[in-house]
Amino acid sequence: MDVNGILQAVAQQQGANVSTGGQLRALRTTRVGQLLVADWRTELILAGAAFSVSVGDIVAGGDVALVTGGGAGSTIDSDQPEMAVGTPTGFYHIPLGFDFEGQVDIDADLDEGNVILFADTTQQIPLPIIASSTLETPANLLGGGPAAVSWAQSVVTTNITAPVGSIVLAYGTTQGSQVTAASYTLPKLQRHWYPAFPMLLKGPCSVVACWGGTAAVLGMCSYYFAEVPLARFQ
Amino acid sequence: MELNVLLETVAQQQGASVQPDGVTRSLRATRVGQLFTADWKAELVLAGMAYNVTVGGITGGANVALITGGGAGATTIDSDQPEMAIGTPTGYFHVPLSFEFAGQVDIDADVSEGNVILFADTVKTIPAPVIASATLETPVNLLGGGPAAISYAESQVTGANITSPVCSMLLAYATTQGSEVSAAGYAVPDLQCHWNLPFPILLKGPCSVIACWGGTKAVLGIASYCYAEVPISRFA
Repeated sequence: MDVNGILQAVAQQQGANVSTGGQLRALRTTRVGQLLVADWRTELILAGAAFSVSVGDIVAGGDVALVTGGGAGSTIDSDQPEMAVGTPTGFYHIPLGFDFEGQVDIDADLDEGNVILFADTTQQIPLPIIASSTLETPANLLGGGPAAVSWAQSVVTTNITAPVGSIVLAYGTTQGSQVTAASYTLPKLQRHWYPAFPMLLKGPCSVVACWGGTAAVLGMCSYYFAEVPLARFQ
Repeated sequence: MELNVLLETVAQQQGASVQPDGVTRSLRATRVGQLFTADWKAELVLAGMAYNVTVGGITGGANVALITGGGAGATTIDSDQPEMAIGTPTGYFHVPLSFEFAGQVDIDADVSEGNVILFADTVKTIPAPVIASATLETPVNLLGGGPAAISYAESQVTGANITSPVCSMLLAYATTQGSEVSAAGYAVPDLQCHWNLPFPILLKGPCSVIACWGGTKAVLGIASYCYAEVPISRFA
């Protein structure tokens, strides 16, 4: 039997009625018939499954406080990352976004600065060793939502188990090209990454950020991710 | 019994019919069958829940008017004396939508720098503006004619400190720094921050969102911040 169904919804641009979970409810439109939608990122956030980790700070009553990259030196050392988030077995880790901006003194030919965000799909980083790293508590993007299952650390100065670059998620670089010694430059080292589609990294896994260069790189970053039980998608 | 349902809607690319809230209506499509949708940002704006706060601007019939950053007459950032601060009370989520900043800074010495930062304090709302030492800002509803904001906003805090804001969440940051090889040089610093988050962050009130700019030399800039405020019960 063929039936023609006309897609209808309730015009409810303002004063949306709020339903409880499990309740049947009408879809909403604007007053001119646009269906109000929530994309995959919004869905994860409103489910209370998305988090933020910030590295770098602003001092209360003071200036910005950047984090110097490069582990034990100025060059990147992936054993001593600037940020690492580990997600355990039983969960997917879904990167949502990464913002980094930094300073580096590029004052010689071929001096360089780098920032990289990568996923290790083989292991979860070890628990933070507080004496040699900073414990970071992921902040739920739905204020008041549950705490994260993943753990996070920053400014690592004791080696973590060598993380593997299974997937490069984002990379930014700058390098000086000196034509003559008499010059002045304004290096720009930044990476703003918001993937247009979800990558479901199966735990145990980690996402790691490092920055550094031939001279010290000082910067800040914000990393956004979601963690969801495997059963949600598999 | 097999039931085949042909999903249909009304092709209404131009001349959209307008229905009041509460009326069941057909969805709209283009003339080639694409469904019209509105994303989470548009939803908040059309519900009359989104606002703009502008710091700096353009003088009527004259030039741009930049705001000098750094607190207490200094050039370096002082988070107690921010260039913009918005406080949202208990009972509401504060949802950042976007931040636009461009500034000028005279980077004429080695490792001179300029910075701009936008951050959230998820612990407390800023105190009401002390008008003698800050400029009261009235958030503008992005749905013209919409209701006034519950949150309050201030800019150019210079005299009395606000209670030390905490950087619970770094939202946006931009920096520039000079690398001098020799004193003979000429540079064109670029300090700007254009932040349009593709997903919502629901900061639970009491909370604040704060912007500061400054550097080794004075940073002068203009900022435009958009956000939404929604009752907690809407999402939690």
